[in-house]
Amino acid sequence: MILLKYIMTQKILIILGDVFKGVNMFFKIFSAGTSGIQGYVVEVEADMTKGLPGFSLVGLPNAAVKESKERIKSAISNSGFRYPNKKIIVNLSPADIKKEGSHYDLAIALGILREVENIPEEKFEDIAFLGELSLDGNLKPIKACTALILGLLNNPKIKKVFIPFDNLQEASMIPDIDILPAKKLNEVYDYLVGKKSIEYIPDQESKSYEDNDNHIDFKDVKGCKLVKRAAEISAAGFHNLLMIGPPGSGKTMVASRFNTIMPELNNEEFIQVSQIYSFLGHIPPEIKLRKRPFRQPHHTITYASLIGGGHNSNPGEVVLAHKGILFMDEFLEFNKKLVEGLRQPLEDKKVSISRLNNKYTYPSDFILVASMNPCPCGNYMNPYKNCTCNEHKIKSYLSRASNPMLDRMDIFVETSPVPYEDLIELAPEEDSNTIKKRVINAISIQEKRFKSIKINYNSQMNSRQVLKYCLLSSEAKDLMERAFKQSNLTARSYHRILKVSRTIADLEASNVIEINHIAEALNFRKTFHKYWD
Amino acid sequence: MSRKKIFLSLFKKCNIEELAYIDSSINDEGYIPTYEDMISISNCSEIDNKMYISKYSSFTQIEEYLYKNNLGVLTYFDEKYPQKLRNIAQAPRMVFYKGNLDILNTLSMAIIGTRKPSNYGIWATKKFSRELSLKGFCVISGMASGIDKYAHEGALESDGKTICVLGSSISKPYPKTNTKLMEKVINSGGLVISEYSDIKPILPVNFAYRNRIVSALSDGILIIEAGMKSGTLITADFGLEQGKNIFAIPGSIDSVSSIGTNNLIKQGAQLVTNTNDILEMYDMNFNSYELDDKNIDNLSETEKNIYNYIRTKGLCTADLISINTAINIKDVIGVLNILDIKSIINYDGHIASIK
Repeated sequence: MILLKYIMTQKILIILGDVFKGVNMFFKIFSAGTSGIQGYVVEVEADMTKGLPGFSLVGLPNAAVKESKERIKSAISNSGFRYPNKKIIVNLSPADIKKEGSHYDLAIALGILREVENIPEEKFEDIAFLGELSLDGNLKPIKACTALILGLLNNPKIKKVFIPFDNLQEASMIPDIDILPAKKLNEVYDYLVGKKSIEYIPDQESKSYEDNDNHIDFKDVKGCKLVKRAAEISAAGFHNLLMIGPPGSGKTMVASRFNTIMPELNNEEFIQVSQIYSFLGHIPPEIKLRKRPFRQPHHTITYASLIGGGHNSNPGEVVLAHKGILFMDEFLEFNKKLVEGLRQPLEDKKVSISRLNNKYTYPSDFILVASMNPCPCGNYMNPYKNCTCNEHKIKSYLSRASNPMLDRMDIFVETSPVPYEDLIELAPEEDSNTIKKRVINAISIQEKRFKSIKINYNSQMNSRQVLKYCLLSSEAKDLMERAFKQSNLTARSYHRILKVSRTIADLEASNVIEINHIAEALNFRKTFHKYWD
Repeated sequence: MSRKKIFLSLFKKCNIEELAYIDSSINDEGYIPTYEDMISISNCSEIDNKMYISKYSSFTQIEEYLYKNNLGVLTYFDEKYPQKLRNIAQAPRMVFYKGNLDILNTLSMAIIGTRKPSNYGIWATKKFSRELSLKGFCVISGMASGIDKYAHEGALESDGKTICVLGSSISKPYPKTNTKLMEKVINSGGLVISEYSDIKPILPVNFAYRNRIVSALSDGILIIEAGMKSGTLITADFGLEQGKNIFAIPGSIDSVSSIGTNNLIKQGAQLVTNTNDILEMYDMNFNSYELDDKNIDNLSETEKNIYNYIRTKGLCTADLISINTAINIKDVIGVLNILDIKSIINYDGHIASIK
């Protein structure tokens, strides 16, 4: 009996062993997916069993992911490997989130290859794989690369990531993870079996665009000194700017050069920006060069493309302008609903898009530069031309700008065309680099000042911080008092003026706000009172 | 306030002398003459029972309007009714007012012009309005936007007296944006008058028609800027009819907003380039440096440079000052704002002009 029992137990163990052997066929590889612009870790589980040969993919894949099985089949065969004659099941986990994109190809292919080519399992423990395969086994660039890699960082196990070689530049900035670029499926295989190491060659493209952009410069804008000064202050303190003036008075010219006086994106900002742009599949060369994004939506833009939306909740222009400039030419021609939609991003520095299934939050911290005509014909208050609009029209035109919106503007400036006689005698103007140096200095002063608190720039100060950091000299105080008595400034104007004067003082590296700083800041509030009081 | 006189002045179709006769035959000011009274006292043929009833109902409405808005009223039969106004052909039977009535009889100048002035027009309006009221002129205008508004403001700035003649009712002034200005005028010892109550709707033609009052109350009319078909020219016509002095400020010949004034000068209006041109007509003299003692000696070198540039140009943008004086723009706008607060120049954030 005892013997019989012993044999029985042995048999059960053998059967159990077989079962475990079957479990051993199952295997998982790290990859990533995106939700909005946020990435998350996806585990690609591949299992091979005996049975009718076939391939099934589960885990809510969309059409692009489903088709990967055909690509993988060809890519594996064309790279010189054998495609297994088994029933293959691939699961993308977490299985309840919809998967999009073609970047799972590489991870799935390796799941299959591991079985066929016996790649040691330990190799996969700390590596994630991203990449689209072409039929000949080459790796093609993928969308949202930065976002995906940032998502991988959530899992502390992952130390390295394989990406297609073409995505190297945008990914190279990301800290805390080793980037392994590859051009072919074979290269990845060779690395995993230890035949070859991957050579990592950092930036080679970056220099080639540099001269390209230099032809726009502030020195080309002749005569419009007031608005240029306003732009300088706005850039130095991240103040929103509204330009009012007749057509041809240099508004657009100044705005399009705004970027040339802004400091380059720092590392942290660059990663945030490239995360957003990688989502669209293409990072513009200017951004690769660390230039700040400059977005200029046309006034016929829809709500979905300005704020964000669409069936997969794409980020809108306000998100693409993150850490850069959103220039709205002909501000009053924009649909009122759109303009009011800007309130949330301007206030919270982020924008939330809710859809039936999920809610996405995108960062959206930008300088709003707006320009507008003072009336429908454009020539109201123009010293050189006559306005043909009637008074009622002008009023209703100006009243299209809502108060809450105007409230978020720090600097108001009026422009006027420079008459020809004055234009030809002009002395050379300051170039962008000189202005940029001043701006960078002012920004570094602000960084030091706000080190201990959460904000970065003068424009973000709340009213308590304004009182704390905006110290006036006694002369300046007197001037402010007199200004208030003479013109009907409100308490709100008071804070705006202080904030702007803080930036003006920073541009001169002055600790205390002097009388001339206040006087200058008053200038940029007067225009508001002139048109909207 | 005499209820009898208010009631009688409602009969606009009746002969004014007949009504005056009824007024003088009834001694009790609070008594409202009955229909029988009116027929028996005068032989006014226009009055019938139907008319009497409708007038009576509008009388009650007017009494309510006066009471609600705390307004005063002057009727043609009042002794206080200004002689200047009585002289004209279509003298209003009744004017509502708020403010100081005494200034109706002082020396006065109507300053009028387009509702869409150029910067030159704004500057000129303020300059003349300020200087004339310093000389004791009462500035009369229509409280419309544009030149009218600046004329009132200029007078207020130099603590002068000013009269607003409205084309709408005093309870609902048009344009609404000038409501604050109206209150300021009343509080500064000025006067607001209107021949319209809020019983009937306000018609556009009212605004043209009230110009005859502007012209009648004034001793001269100064036209700052007027376009080709400006309503201002209507006032000038009324002024000519009433035999007033017409002054006009010339503008550049290609300026749309000066076509009207330039034409007036062609037709014989007095060309005005400074305040003395006006004062001479009234045997007065104005020392233009009376205004200029503004502690300019205390100014810094840069401030003086900028001030002198603005004085030579009269009116210029901050950009131009910076370009032509080679002073950095940030200093220019700083100085301009300081000078503005010190009341040495006018500066609106973009355009500077001398006071």
